[in-house]
Amino acid sequence: MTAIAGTLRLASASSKQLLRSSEVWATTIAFPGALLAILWLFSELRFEFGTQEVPLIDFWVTGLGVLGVALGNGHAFLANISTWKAGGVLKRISVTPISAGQLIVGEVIPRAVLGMATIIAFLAVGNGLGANIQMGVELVSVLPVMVMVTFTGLSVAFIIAGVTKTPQNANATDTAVSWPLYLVTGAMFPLAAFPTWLEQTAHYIPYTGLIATVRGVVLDSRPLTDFGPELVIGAAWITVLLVAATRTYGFVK
Amino acid sequence: MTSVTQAAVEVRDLVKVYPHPGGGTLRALDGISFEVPTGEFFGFLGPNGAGKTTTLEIIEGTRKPTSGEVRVLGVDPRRDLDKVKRMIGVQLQAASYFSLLTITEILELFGSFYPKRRSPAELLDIVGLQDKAKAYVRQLSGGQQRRFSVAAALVNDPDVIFLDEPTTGLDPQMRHSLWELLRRLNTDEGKTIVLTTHYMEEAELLADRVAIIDHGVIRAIETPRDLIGRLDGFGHIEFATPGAVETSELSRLAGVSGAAARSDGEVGSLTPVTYRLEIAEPKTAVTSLLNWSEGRGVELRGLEVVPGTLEDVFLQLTGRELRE
Repeated sequence: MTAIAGTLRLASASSKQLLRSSEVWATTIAFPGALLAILWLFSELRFEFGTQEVPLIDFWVTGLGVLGVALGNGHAFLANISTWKAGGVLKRISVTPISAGQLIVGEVIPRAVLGMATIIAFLAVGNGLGANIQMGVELVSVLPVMVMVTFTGLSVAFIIAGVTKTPQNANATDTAVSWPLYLVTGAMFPLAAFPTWLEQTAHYIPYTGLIATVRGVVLDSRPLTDFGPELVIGAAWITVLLVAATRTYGFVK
Repeated sequence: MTSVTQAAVEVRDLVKVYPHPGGGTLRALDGISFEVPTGEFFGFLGPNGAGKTTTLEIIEGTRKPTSGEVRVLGVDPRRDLDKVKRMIGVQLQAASYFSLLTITEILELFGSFYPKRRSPAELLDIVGLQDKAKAYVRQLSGGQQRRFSVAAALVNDPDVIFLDEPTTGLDPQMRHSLWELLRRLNTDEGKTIVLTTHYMEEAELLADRVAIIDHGVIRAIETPRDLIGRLDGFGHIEFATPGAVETSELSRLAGVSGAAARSDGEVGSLTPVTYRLEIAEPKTAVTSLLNWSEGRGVELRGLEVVPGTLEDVFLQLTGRELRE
């Protein structure tokens, strides 16, 4: 009972800090806003691959919206938790009965809610700028997928904070990990345009299936059940990443 | 000190070996053993790198020992770490707190981690920070931050409190104020306190017993009075000279066992050079020093025979000074 109460208090304290932080403006408004403004410049362009033709803004709002918000959220969070580690906040928590797992869950809950809300807002504004996104029941059905995307980003942040010694190293590692993801997860370019070996490999990258699911549901109105393998791969990655996060961001030396 | 019933802390043959950055290993703790009875104020005195913090971290369960046994109020941290964490309060040498929560909110948050807790208002009252209840940690002075750290260590009303160099870096006034607070916690609230320090006066003033630790080995555990008693009541001679003289010359004087020059201003702040002579035989040493001074025409300024302190004991036991 105390363990749950402690975790919920951590989540509540984390929400309070989030709302007091200028970082929240950067990750939920400034960065997504700037991204949308750039995408709008390309709103008349279209992708052609094979026999398919897709408006660029549809493809990028859904792909970059999901991945960019998840990675931006994770990046801001990483700055926070790597500073905790370097500055001694983590060490102070380690001498309380709170476990690394509780700390992670307590921090991830408000961040996941924030990430989900940001993605929805991103899609809504993208729609207003010309994207053709289904904002009704389709959007509601992908809410759990958006949570999965955010969880993935935050778990990766915990792992990077755990394996690096300074906030500077954490930042550099995160940048190195993030950039290729924009290129190979299908967020910016259709997987069908990739060489076969890369296309097949890309399906097993954590975000790829989740982006394809969000895109398929909100652009093509396909049901979630069409994306079983993608969701299973996404869930498996979250499990692996969360376990790795609790081990690498652990307390006992 | 309250009556002794159960050991608050028991440590047996504790060893901690770290891989050495340059290859090989570093034996940070080399089989230390000690016991802290309930209600005692126990001091760990030693220089930086002596093994004080490693010992505390192993007792607190945040570092695994290479070998050895630890019990906190009869509980092994390796078997039931949660139980140990619920019974202890910890003030870390270098810790910080959430920067966007007020100190009251931090105490509320930390209190929620424990089944037994004290209210933030009560804790802030104990450490004299009632008027700072809505402040953020960064808005507190250095001394206030240390007081807040002590308050945070008391959130669960612990039976045993571990304080890792709580006054390092504080000015004398803040240090004395924190000493008063710690003394009250021990005498008025009956808390067992284990404190590490490299300030000998801190250990001497506060601790019922002091363990002198150096290079991972406990050299002695006794009351400060008994430790100083080993020196037969005398410690060292201090003086300054207008110009530098050879310390080897001073150490050869009758009754003198060692000589060192200091220019850090901590011994009387006399310039240009201050000397400290360790004395084996006080009367002989003073006589031979005065004769040497007269014979060499060297003026001795601020000559002082200083009674033995824990620092002298440390020097006698380890062959080096606490500040080295």
